[in-house]
Amino acid sequence: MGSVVDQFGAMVSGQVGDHPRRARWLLSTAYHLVGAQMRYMPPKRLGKAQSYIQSVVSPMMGHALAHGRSCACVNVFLPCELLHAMDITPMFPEGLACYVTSTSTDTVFIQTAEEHGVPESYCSYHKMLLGIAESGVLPPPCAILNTSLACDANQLTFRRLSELYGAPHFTVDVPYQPNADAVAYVADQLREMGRFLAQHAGKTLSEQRLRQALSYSRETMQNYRCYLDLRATRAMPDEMTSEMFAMIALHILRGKPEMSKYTNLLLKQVHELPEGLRGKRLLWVHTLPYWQGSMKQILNFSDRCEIVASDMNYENMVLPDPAHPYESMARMLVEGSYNGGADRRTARTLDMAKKMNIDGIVCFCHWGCKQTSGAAGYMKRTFEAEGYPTLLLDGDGCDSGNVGDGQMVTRLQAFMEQLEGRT
Amino acid sequence: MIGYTCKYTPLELFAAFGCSCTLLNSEAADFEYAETLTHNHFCCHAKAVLEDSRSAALEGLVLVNCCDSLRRTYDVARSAHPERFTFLLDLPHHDDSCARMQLSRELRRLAEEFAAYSGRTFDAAQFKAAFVSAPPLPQEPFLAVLGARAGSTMLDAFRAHAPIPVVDMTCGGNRRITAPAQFPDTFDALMDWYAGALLGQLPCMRMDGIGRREELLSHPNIKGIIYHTVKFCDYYAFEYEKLRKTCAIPLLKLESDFSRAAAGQLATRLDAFIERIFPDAAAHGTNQTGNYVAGIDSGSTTTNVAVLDLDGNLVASAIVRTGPKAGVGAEKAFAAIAGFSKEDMAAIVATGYGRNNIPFATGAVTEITCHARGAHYLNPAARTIVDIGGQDSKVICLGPDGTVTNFVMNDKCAAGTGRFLELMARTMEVELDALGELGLQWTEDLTISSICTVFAESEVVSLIADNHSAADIVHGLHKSVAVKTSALVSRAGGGPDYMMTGGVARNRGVVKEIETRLGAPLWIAEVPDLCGALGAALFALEHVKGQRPYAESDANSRSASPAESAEKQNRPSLS
Repeated sequence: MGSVVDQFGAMVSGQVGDHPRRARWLLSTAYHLVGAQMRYMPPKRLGKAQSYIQSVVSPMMGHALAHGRSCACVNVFLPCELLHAMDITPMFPEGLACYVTSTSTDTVFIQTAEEHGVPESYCSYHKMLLGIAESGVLPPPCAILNTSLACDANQLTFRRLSELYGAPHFTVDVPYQPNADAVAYVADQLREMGRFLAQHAGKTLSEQRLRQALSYSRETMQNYRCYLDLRATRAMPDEMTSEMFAMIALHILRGKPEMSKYTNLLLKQVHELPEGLRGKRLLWVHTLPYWQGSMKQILNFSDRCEIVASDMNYENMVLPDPAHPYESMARMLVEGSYNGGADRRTARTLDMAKKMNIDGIVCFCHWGCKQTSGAAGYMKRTFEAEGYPTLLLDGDGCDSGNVGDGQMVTRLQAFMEQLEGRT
Repeated sequence: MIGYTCKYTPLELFAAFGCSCTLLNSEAADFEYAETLTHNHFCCHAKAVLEDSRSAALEGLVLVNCCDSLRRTYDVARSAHPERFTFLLDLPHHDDSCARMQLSRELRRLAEEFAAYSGRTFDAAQFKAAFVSAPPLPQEPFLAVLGARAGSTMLDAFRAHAPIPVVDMTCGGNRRITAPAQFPDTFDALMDWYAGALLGQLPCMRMDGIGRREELLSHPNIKGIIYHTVKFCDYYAFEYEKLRKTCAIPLLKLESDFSRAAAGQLATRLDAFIERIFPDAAAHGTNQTGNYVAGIDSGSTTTNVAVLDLDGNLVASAIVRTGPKAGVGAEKAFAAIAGFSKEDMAAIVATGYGRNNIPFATGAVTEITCHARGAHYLNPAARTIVDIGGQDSKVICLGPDGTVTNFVMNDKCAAGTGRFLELMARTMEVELDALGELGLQWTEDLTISSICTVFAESEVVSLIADNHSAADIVHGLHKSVAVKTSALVSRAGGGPDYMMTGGVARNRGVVKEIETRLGAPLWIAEVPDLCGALGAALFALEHVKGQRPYAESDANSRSASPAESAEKQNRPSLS
């Protein structure tokens, strides 16, 4: 038998079929313990900001499993300031799936989902969430909320969850064209969603608290922008997980004071570093295979290369205005580069590459994501025409049974050799 | 000519500009162009649209932001043909009044951009004249095609196979917009009305409110539903799963990759479905002269033949390698039966992949129906048959009378089939026949988690490199097959008693793991490979004896089962 984590995963997986509540308790407890570890005994190599955000997110995952009724199931793009203003915990596919994979319990949930008719070609994050729900490990939430942005899986997963739990469901339709009509259309839906959520969660939505949440969002975004400005001229070897956590901070948890603190810590951390670049600087497009041993070996805390930034954390350039909370949230959706055509996302990523002194771009084609894989060829052609060598890397952000590990290593190493001028 | 794919496309708007539209719905010969522009993990219908979009006959392409894949199809098609009119209509997910206003603005944007591109003007009279009534649904029983759109070749094949009309009720065939009694006067008011009319159609799965889709099932003349899904399109698998649990109408799921390549599995499934709805539909002939009947199961790996006398006793059987040609394999199988010639047979029914390529067969029945028949004959208590052959694996559910109530098959992926085990045995340099026993001797519980045969092979290579024992790795592989199989059982809605057929039933390691997953024993005949051939022979026999479709009273009225008869005659028995 393998590591302690593998043993834990095997133990939890063994409970899922007959004792889903026990499996839920085990997972929830584990995530609370990880949170405590990150707070009191963080790994030495991890920066303060990175350990801090893990100490916030891990218990949140544990809470979502243990106390479903105080949570809402949401997708990663849903403006959660409305939830934070009512103290409702968001639970989202990408986060829960990543935590489940970290505890080596992904296989059993993927299998459960497929046994319930979820197609093999479906996004693994969403498939995992459905598997956790279908197995009875995920407790019923108070509401299910999603945007049509950024992918089809939102339409399907959340509708299915709503049918499964009989839970109230609200969809925010986000138009493709970024214009004033679209912003007004989305803002009206967000107002309606606020009323809907308050009613079903039995809470009162205070406009004052909503504005407060928006002002935390603004601080978070401003801090992160300043961090990127400094990171553009500094080397800061890190681990892949950090970009995932930054994505959580800038989306789902945006609007919480803790995220303002996290980005502030991040800013201080990079400020203390000397100016100067080291190793090859990569820009990562889409999610990351943070769980994969071989990828970690190449990319985490390496002097040879570093992931400087991810396009997920540069897609939204709107600074919210707390005086106009609904229009601000609507603008963040409509004007984000994950909305609209591949040209918009590609242009935004190129802008980031130029800003961040990037040597090469890795476009990660996460299994089941037709948005990214469909645009990957276009992105590669465009990036390379602008002088940025680009690697298309097929993999899976959370399903360990769905990757050709050896081939991924060969592709990534060959790309590094290409960047280093060996070919 | 403007190419389009979606029923929400405003065709009448283009008619108002004097421009006709053509539905891009052909299967592709290959996806070379589309995969160069996109990715191989991409909706196959969208890839086929990209292949079609190269046609020089197209003046423009109008897509709707139906799904992730079509959005990206628009992006790359526009980039590949910047000189052409390429437009993406932003269809709201809702259908309320705000969504209607949103769509109305989109329609006006489209009209404006097309007028600027083409130099033509909007003609309100042509617009109004473009609304034509959709043909009514048949007054007689018909098969409905539901789910993701089906390609034109596939629809033709459905119509050629089915004994009753086939109606395309996917979004490729159910566009229905009715003209109002009186059209509004101004252009803006016209577009407002038009947006509502487009949104008022029966929703596709991409829309937010899909409750009205139940209307699709409400037509009293629907005799069966062919539910189509497309590889790498996820929308319709969800609806199918719901229907599978709730729909009382016979339901067949077919998944295609929108390619023109003749898919043997699709034909097999469709034939089996038609056999299930119309038990009399299987084609039979007879030479009426012989004293025996034969069933030939022409599989991808082996060809199996079973010969019965006219009393239903198994008198001979043979199993030979099929080789590259089904007809030659069948000849070889017949040659392997000592003492019998084709002329001795009053009827020969063929089954399996090669069933339509055996010139001397007098009839053909799919292996689904034949396995069910053979299995029910051998073990009337069986309600779920797990058949794992060389090329595919399937689960067939039976009613108490032995009729097929449901079946599912693996998709094109080889994981969970005999071929998977064969490849893994080769990787491990272990004899295929030795795999079963070896896997029982495991000590460490390894898990092969990769779902793909190719990935699993590299996982096995890594485990070998890590010095894990062959027995432990083989056990892991057996578990992996068992996981796939139990998922199929679950999808089919199977329950006890379970029976297993096919060559892999000889592998005790796999059998044990499947039993563990199912929590119930598998009943296995002594020669599990022969079940399909036996079923085919039983069909031949019934045909010769009375040309009646199968019924349990026939089976019960037999003097003895093949096993009992064989025992009497001191011949090898099947069970």
